[in-house]
Amino acid sequence: MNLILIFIAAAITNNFVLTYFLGICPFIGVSNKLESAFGMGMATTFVMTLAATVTWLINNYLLIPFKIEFLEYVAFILTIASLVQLVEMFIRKVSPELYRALGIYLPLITTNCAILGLTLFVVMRKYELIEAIVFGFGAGVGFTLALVLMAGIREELEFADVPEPFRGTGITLIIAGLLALAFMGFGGLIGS
Amino acid sequence: MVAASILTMVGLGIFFAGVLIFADRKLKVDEDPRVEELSQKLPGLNCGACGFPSCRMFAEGIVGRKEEAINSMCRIAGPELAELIAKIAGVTTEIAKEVAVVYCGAKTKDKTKKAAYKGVATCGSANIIFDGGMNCEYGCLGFGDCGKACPFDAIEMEDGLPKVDPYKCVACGKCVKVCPRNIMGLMPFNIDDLVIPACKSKNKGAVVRKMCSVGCIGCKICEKLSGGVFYVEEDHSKIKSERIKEDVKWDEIIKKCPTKTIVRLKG
Repeated sequence: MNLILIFIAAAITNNFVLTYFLGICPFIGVSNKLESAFGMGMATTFVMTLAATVTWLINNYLLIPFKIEFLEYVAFILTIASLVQLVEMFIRKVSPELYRALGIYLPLITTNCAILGLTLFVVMRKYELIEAIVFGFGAGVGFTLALVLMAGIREELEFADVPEPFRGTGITLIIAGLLALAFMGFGGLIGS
Repeated sequence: MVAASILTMVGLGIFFAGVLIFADRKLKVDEDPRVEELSQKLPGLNCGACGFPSCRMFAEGIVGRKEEAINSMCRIAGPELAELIAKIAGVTTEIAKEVAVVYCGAKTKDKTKKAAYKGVATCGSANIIFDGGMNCEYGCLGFGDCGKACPFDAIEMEDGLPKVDPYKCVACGKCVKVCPRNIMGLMPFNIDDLVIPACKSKNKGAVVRKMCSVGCIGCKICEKLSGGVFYVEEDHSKIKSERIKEDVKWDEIIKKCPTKTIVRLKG
């Protein structure tokens, strides 16, 4: 039950993008096309789940025993960067098609603040390993959801008669704000 | 604590570096360095004129010596790049520069209307609604869908007709595909000027005369004067693009054409 709650909280009620405003750059940058938004979401979900697992292990078996928890930022960034590199090589080998489809987005995940935020949340909330994994996966699903929602709206927006000053980034940010408002409706449903 | 932190971070770094080195060895993808070299030099516009979705895939096709890649040359390639591509592909290629042309000469004042079209201002929409209000169902609608489709800004609308800049045009064929009336086409362009019959009307001469002052009436004067470089088919004049280098009295044909349908496109 607890795990389901963690998953739903991470994916919907406390959506990383629309409630915590983490990972806004890919949210704005990669959401012009549904296809690429979904690809980016999938890649991020994968890295998030993996990152949550590995950083949990590092935190609990390395940083805490040696009492150097203050290094968590540095250690986690190192971990995430290496993981993304690893995933990139792996995808390139296994599926060149997917590799080409994801293109630049894959290395971009390295600097995605949503992932660093996720790993820090795991530490802050003192999750167990299995909880951390579910949390990471849920956060990834939530990220994908936000990206796909945004991409769907932006594709429709192509046909809308947007006033000139709002065209481009302006209207995108307004829509992001409205989406975030909608997600605020879930606020307080599940603690954190 | 200082020692512990330094050691841990160094350890972590070395560990991840080790994993990455190991992964790099294990998961190495063998790639021909020429693919990288060639795709660096290709225009990178991914216009798709060669038949490949991206310049990189075209480069891969050339390096892999795939037939469809060799047969379809990069349209934007200059002579230097063409030589490189030919060298890698192991063939000698000669690129025939082509350019997009418009087979309609009716300017805004020449177009007669049967209704006022006030719908969405694109050729695609106008074409399906009452011929866009035009009497002629073959001529240019003049909303410039071709110009919007052109990735190289080579087409400008001028007096209701698209005007192609032959130096910007790379003959990718996007305008040809997008034109709902099929009046765009590609023509070889290695001479300084180009003479084309600017009409595609399949109507009989008498009908054309009523609706358009520059429409082809199929009188066959051009056919006789050019010795068959021009020929009349489907009630309008056409040109054999493979014979345009022949010595034809272009000026005389242009002058003798009773409806001034044969036009010269200046380079």
